[in-house]
Amino acid sequence: MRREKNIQAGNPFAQFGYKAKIATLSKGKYLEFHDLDSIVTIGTVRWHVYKNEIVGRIVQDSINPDAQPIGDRAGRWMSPDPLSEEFSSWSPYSFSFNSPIVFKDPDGRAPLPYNDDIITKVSNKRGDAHYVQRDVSIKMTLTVVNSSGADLSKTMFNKTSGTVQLSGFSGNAQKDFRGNDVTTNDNLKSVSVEYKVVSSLNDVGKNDHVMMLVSSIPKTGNDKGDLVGKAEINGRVSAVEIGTIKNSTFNNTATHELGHNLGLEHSSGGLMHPTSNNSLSTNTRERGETVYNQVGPYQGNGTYTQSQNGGPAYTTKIQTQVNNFLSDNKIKQ
Amino acid sequence: MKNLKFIICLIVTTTFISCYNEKNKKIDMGLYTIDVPYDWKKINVQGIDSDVTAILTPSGDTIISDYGKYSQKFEETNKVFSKKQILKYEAMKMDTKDLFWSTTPEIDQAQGTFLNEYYMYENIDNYNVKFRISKKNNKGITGISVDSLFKTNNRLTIYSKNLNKLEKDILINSFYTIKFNKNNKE
Repeated sequence: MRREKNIQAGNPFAQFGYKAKIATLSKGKYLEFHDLDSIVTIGTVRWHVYKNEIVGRIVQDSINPDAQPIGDRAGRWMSPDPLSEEFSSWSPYSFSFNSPIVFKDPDGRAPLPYNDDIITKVSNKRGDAHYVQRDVSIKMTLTVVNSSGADLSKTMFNKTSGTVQLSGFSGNAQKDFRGNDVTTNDNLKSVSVEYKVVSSLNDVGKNDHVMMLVSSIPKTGNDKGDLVGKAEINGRVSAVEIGTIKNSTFNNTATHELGHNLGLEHSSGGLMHPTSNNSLSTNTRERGETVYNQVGPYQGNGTYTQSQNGGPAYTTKIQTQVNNFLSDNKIKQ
Repeated sequence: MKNLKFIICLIVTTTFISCYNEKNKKIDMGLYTIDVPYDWKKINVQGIDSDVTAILTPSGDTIISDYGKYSQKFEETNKVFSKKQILKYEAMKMDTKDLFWSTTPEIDQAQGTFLNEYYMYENIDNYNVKFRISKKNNKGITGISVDSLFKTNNRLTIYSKNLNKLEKDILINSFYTIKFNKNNKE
């Protein structure tokens, strides 16, 4: 009888008059059910079973992963990390790639560099020492310096700030490294430019790329004549003549110069053709070169910034670089 | 009869080519002069960020002359894999459709068998000039590239795309007639 009482203490249907089979370890010799507290936790509520009233509430701390929310359980994740595939080599318990000085994480989704820069994300790396495939996306931060207040409403930089996709850069990206005997065949998913338009060079961020809108750019040799753009290859400074806005070649010229900043030389067709041809397309080799100028062939999954990844143009202050660029090329603002 | 036809063809072709040679002219491209057939014309084109001039051929092809810091360098290479490597990458579910492979990968790698063009260096007017010559007619690039011309940082690249056999041969011969205008400086 005592045994039966001990067993029925665990019967959840007792109040309905049913007897259910109850699994016990001692077959009723000992009382194994102790949920006889007068106050129980139901969800976030503390409930008094005899008084039939709420006697307290549990406040969930959603910011602190060690907080104990529903049912007094130890800290658990609410769901798998939605970006876990992108950070497969990182523990979900690490923060900002363990480098809080270099990266920030304002909304908890992913670490981002503090400074504006060229940010390259690499994922899905596979292959061996001679052949590598990766998914790559590149984002450049650009400040357009429009000191003369030219009307940019019909150009790619038609807002005070925004993001433009350089769609001609998307696609298969191949580069052959003869020295290391390795070929990369990456999928360059996107190249985007996050821009802002300012009127003064002083408003340029520390690690920004800069495009100067200028009145005149002279020719290279002794020939008298006029060019419409100029840029440093793999550098951070470019210039575009304001006159290109009027004859609708601005977008082509500006993207061509950004192509130089991304490390491309001239080619026999497409965006990097030496003459203005209204084409914004690049070929597989050029895209391969674009990726190479941000990440080397052996660099795996992760987020890279050009300045941290050995980019050459980050040692001198950007304002000094711009002024040197303008005077070296005899460009009038 | 067949022989007669052949002889007539030969005479016509020879006359045609000799006429070409006789009616060559010297074009001043600013940085250099070049001898080209009389019906090849210099045209003005607008360069974006380098000094660009062009020559138009009778068949409508353009020979671009690009002088600047970032003109083309002619540094194309591609990797030749072995069949074993390709099978390995296919097993790894990697994309192999753009890859070249052969049974003698090292030799084909060294000979550039899978490239669209031949490459060589020549001395023209005392400058070391890199030639790039398309292997097939009507496909590929034919041109020359000179680094650090006039001891500046600038490179001169003269090239044309997809030329037919006759114009390709004429252009290659014309390259040898280039005389650089040494008064040019940065």
